[in-house]
This record gives sequence, structure tokens and C-alpha cells, in this order.
Amino acid sequence: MTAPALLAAPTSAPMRAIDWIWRIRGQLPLAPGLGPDAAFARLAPLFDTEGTTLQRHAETLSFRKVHPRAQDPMAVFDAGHLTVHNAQLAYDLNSRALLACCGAPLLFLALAGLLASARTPGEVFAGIFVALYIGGRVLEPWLVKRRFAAALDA
Amino acid sequence: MQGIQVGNRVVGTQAPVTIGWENIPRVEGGPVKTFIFTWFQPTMLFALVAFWCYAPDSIAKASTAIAIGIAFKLLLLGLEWVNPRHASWRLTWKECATDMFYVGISYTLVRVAEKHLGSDAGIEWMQHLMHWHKLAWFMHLPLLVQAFLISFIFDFGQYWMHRGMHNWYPLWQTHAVHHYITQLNINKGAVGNPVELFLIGLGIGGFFDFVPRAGLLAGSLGLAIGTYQHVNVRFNTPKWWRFLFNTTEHHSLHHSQDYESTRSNYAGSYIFIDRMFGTCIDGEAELLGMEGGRRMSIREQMTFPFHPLIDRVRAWRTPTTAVPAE
Repeated sequence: MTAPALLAAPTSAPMRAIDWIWRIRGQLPLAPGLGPDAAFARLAPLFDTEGTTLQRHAETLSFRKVHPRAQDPMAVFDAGHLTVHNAQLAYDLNSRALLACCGAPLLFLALAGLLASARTPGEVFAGIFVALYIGGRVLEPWLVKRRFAAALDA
Repeated sequence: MQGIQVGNRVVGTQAPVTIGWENIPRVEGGPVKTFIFTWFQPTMLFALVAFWCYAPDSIAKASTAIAIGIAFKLLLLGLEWVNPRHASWRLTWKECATDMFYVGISYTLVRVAEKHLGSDAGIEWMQHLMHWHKLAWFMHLPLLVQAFLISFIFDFGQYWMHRGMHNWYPLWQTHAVHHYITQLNINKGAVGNPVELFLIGLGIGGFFDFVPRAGLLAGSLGLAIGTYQHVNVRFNTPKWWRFLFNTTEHHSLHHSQDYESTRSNYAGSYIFIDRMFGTCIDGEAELLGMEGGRRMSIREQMTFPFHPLIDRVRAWRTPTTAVPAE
């Protein structure tokens, strides 16, 4: 199984306790009468980018991204599932970038410990990445929800 | 794609480029916005020069320079949002985090390598071996002259190292990864393989003795001029500035997807060095990158210079199967 697929796979209960680090879940109400076909058709432009592959199965749309471009507004996600059910869009998205950013402070703290003359910059960058992670974990769910809502309203 | 004749070369045959200042878009908006984005660059340069020339000793120190550097970059980051050059260069959270990773590597691993293996260590070894002393006469030059010479000598060396990277395969392997960026943002200058960042930081400034304030002023010149290489802001840059100094326009052309355009504008701060050696092209490009704009992952960027070596080892370890002649 490839890394994005592995990240997107259904997780066990203990895993769910920590997978919020790299996983973004959410729901959006759909307009009355908007079925899976119409909803996914409206969302399609968001996935019409290089490196993105889609798979449709009944009420679920799965996507995967390999080396998405910097210009791809959804580039932060590597894989995910979108499900239309009971007049709601539910999404479950995975981001290796968020996971890497969450781990980056440990790397810089390790460098600060290993390299005596890099102690201060190492600690400063560990702090910067903590702030970046928190910022990204708050910003990206908000942005993706806004993008989905705008596409569905179009 | 039909190219554009520039001197004895034809550029823009592989990807669109804009050549000539008269063809480059101007800042759009009201008089206040136009005024700000016309005079921002020279104002900041002269303000920084004035600060380092006249600031009292109590504040003219390295920590102040670091604070100014951070504040200046944050200001430019804000300007990227207010007046971006291209929407396709807009910074996303992922790009920002990726760029910061490279900045972090520059300030830790690369800095330690430079300290122990870089030019200063080499120069110290050479001075000790040859019983040379630092060139003390340099200290008696006027402050501004010292600062300009420090930054010019560094940029002159950087020009030839950079040009060498575009012309000699082993060096290109280290630099190629930097050319996979498809946007120019405030921290994109740090995106690259650590080996390249180490090489581009080599200089001969260690042979000279200069007053500390001159070093800080030289750093400010780099900050107020060289930073614009990788910035997504549209300015109405004055004519004299773009004749002397590198601009986002020049550097975007250097990062173009058009191969011939990438073989131009090598200097970091002083584009007149390119003019001296016939490698300057005045123009800009929006479509940047290599292999049609493919994004290179951090992992690939870190290992890319060693790929030929890895391939050779793999080929050597793979037993060849003899094919019988028919």
C-alpha cells in the first residue's frame, strides 16, 4: 500500500486518538435534492489538477495526489474520501505535510542537541514549527470547508 | 513556440517569457498604492544605509541586524498579500512550511558546515600556513566603501559559482533542485540542497579585515537588494535600480521553464555583474520550474545530487547477465 493510501485507510480506535494530527474530518449540509452525482460534479473542478487521481464508488469519491503542484489549492492533502449521505457531505482528508510539520520540531530539537553551535537556531526553529503546525491545523480545515462550500453553492 | 531574439541568443522557445521593460506590467491601483510600490525599494535601501551609517554603537550590533532582517521579511510577506506579482505564486501554508524547513536547515546544518568547513575555515588555514595577515588597509576605507566592497566581492564570487553551477555537471547536480521551484516567495531563496547552499555561501571576504559595522552594513545591502530575487510583489522598480541591481523580474527569467532564459542573470544582488559579462537579460517569466513544473519532494531534493553516484553503485552491484550470441 502506498503512503497516501495507507494514511487514508480506515483507522482503529487507538489510532483515531492521534490521527487528528494529520487527518481532517468534517461535514457540510447539502442543498435539498443534491445527490451524490450532482454534488461530486460541482466538486470536480477542485480535483482537476495534475497529479490527482479520482475513484468513484457509489456515494463515495476517493482521491489521491502525487507530488501536487504548489499552485494546487488542495496540495496539502495527499488522499481522502468524500461521502454524500443523508443530505450531507462528509469528508476525511489526510495530510503528510501536517504530519511532517508536527514532527519537524523534534528534528530541530535534535539538531540543537547534536550541534553545539546550532543550539539557539535549532530551538527557535522548533518553536517556529510548533507555531506553523498549530496555524496549519486551524487554517487548513477552515480553508477546505470554505472551498467545498463555495464549490457546492456554485 | 516562436522565440525572441536577445543579442545572439533566442529565448522563450520552450515557455513564455516577457522581454523588455516596456512589456512588463506596471502596478495597478490608486495613486497611494502606486506611490508606495514605486518608492518602497529605494526608500528601504537608503533608510537601512542611513541607519547603519549613523546609528549609535549601543544599537549598531548583530542582534539589531537580525531583528531588522526578520521585520523586513515579515513586511515583504505582507506586501506579497497586498500586491502579488502573480496569483500562481501565492504562498500556501504547505509552501510556507516547506520553505521554512529549508530556512531552518540553512540556519543549523549549513551554518555549522560553513563554520567548520567553509571559506572562513579554509582562509584561516591558508593564512596560518602562508603566514599571511588579514588585509588591514581595508579598514581605513570609508565605511560605505568597505560595505560595498564586502558585498560586491561576495556577489562577484557568487556570480561565478552560480554560473559554474549552470555549466559544469557535478555542480549543476547540486543546484538543479533549486530550479524545481515554481513560485518566487520570500523564503524560496533557501530552497535547495544543503550542499548547494554551502557552496553558494563560499567567499573570500575572510582575507579582509573590516570594521564590524561595515559587515552589518554589507548584510543590509544584501537584505535591501538581494531579497527581491525571490519575492512575489509587483513593484514599479526605478530604471537606475533595475540597471544596477537584481530584481524579481531578472530572477524569474532565470527560473523560467525556458532553458535558454535560465542561462542568464546569475548575480545575487548586482545585476551589473551580468551586464559586464554579457549574461543579463531584462525581462520576466511567470511559468517557472523544471520538467514542465514538476514539484520535487523534500526527500528527492535532499538526495538528488547523489543520484548519479547511487545509480553507479546500483549498476555495479547488479550482476550483468551474459546473453549468448546467436
